Amino acid sequence: MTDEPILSVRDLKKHYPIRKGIFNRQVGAAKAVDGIGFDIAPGETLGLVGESGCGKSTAASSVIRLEEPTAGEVVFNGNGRGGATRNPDGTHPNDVTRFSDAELKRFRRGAQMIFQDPASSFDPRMTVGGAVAEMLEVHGMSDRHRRRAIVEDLLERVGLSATDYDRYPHEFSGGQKQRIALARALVLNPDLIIADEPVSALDVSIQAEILSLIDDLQTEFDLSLLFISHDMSVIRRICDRVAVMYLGEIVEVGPTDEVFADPQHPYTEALLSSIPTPDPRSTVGGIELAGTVPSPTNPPSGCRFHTRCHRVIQPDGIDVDQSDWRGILNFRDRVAAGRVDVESIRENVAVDGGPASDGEVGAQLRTEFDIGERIGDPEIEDTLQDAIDRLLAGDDEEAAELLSDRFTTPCAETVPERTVHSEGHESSCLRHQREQAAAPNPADD
Amino acid sequence: MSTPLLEVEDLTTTFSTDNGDLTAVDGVGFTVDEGETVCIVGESGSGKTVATESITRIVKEPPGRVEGTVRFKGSDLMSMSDEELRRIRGNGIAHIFQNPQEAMNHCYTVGWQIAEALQIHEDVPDEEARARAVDLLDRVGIANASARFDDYPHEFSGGQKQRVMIAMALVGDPDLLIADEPTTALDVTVQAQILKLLDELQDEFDMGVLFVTHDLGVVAQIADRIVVMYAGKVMERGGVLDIFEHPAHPYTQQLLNCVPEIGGNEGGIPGTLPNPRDPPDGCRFAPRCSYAEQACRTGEQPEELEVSPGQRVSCIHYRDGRDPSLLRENAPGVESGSNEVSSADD
Repeated sequence: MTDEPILSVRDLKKHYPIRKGIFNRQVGAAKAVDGIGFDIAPGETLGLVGESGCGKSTAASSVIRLEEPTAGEVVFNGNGRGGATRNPDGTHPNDVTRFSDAELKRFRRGAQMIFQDPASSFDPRMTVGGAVAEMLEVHGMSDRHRRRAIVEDLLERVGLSATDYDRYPHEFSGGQKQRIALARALVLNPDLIIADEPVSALDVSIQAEILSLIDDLQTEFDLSLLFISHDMSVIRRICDRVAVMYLGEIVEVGPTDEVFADPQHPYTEALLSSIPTPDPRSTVGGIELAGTVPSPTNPPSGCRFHTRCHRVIQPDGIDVDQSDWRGILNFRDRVAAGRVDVESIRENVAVDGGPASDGEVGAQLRTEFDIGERIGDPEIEDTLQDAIDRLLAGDDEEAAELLSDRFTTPCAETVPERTVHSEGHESSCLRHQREQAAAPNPADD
Repeated sequence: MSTPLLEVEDLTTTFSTDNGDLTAVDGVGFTVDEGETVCIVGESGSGKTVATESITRIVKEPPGRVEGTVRFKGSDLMSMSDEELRRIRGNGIAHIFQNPQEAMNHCYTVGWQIAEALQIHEDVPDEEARARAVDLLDRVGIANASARFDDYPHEFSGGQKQRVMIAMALVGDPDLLIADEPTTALDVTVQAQILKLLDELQDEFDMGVLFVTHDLGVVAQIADRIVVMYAGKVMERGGVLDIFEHPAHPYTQQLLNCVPEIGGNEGGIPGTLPNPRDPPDGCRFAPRCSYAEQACRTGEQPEELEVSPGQRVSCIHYRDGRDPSLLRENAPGVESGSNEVSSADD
């Protein structure tokens, strides 16, 4: 074996067109996966983690071509395809996205998928043995007795018994069904398994069982795994390396231990800090992410995380408390979207009789956005107060303009490049890019 | 000693099915004090959801049949008429569920649904109901509440829907909030937001919270006391520190061992939950328990024994004259893992 990766994904994109009108004109696209890349070495487990809607499942189904990717390259070197060189025109002979139907069928022998819900991934009218054996039949094994022998053997290896062959899916528990799903994925002796949330529907005690089974089988069958999960503790247990996705992009990738111990991207940091620790004595000071994930139809410019990032960069000439800065930017965005309801705040503040003064409403606004009573920098303070005054006077547009003119962040303008922190540990954050540009010899640390 | 907010004794819920009776909850007992958070933990099928739904008898009867004693602020819910019970539901005890989508009506605006809930409990004019609904939405952290009043459920994200559900539960200013896996369907970052919100509201409204979950991380963060259920029975209950640091029942120990950060048990708990139509004799956990002996497999579930103040366990190894120390061998807790953390804290 050479040390070439078994799967190599480059700049993979999957955009879903949004159509409107009688001519079905395309008016936009939901960029579910927008230019991701990663490698999986033979025998390695790569975790893909992120919140719902970040595109991790779409990434998986695009890799295996259950859905046609919009752009990009997926080079699969497993099942005897290794050692190929690029064609003269720059395309790769092992590029899954260019496979013909016949090649695709062969590819699917080498790469299998397991899904989250074991209940809906089996035909209720087919025995489980039949469901597993069907794979062999489709791929040309015509000897019925041999098929049965192989499947019975496999059922035993995933912790069931050979007599389960003739039973139906409803007779099995969720964990057992997931074992059968594993048997079905393994029956064609693949090199790569893509597991999409395979244990998310199971109880913790069953989860542990299935995870250790996956671990054993991986060694036994010398498998590579792409393991997708939103559950960080599951990822931590099973993955060698982990890639963190946010809004269609990979923001950080690295060895699992390193990413968990020393997360470099602020999103990874926030994600890790929101996991409840199973220790009643620890009081978590979790980083709270404001708001919700933006729409992938119109993702934020620059770094996609900048609208929620707690470490969002202050431009040259501004140096205020970081939490004030985050608050000011949130305030700016909400004013610009016309979603600050001054009247209802005024009503809420006015408790006993008389109407609330502008000062009181202004103070309430600051509390709501976690902005301090006075900002240290007098010039910033003046601009902010000016904007609040205009907002209270009903000049929403002017206030919005003032805020967006004065308060900008480099994060919204520049798309961050990958910075390398150590062997294989990379993240895309402008802060690191700047630090490394400032440091003379970044590769040495 | 004052009476607890909620007292549950010998609660038994049976469903009659075509294949015979199924006892989902079997003689369960626990209490919730004012302002405290009690977590019920257990695997799916352990009866934790049915137990909480039996409290306000929102379990369908028939096929269900609820027996036992449930006292809320001293008055017996089991002997109440439907009319009296309806007043307790919402005003005294409110429920929130795992799946907010299913608990809302898609055809009405969320504000209307909150206002409706309000007007069922109180005779208030539409104007005031609207104002109070907006106020509640604002309190659960829905930005721009007055404008969102007229939005439909599908216009809210999963986390926001759960916030709306919480707002709806707060309508009657309840003394007890029963939350059934309210964050299980949410992402960790959103879960953190909702847990924080619940914590704030608990202080603000001075509510007791009965929280059902299978996530031991969440339990560690929010619980004052814990009730561990298995196959319809309570295996162990006690304070959060006692349960996490000195789990007494072998099931609790194994469950904690399944958590990667605590135990080294990579293999899970061997075996599966017993068939609820035909539960095993003796301790329900005996068939999967590595310490089980002949005495564990006969008779009834062992009586609850107090092993430390407030910590009760249903296991014969703690009876007088027996040596329970052998159960500590593989137990998680301070000895094995979290030494660093606890010493740094004290």
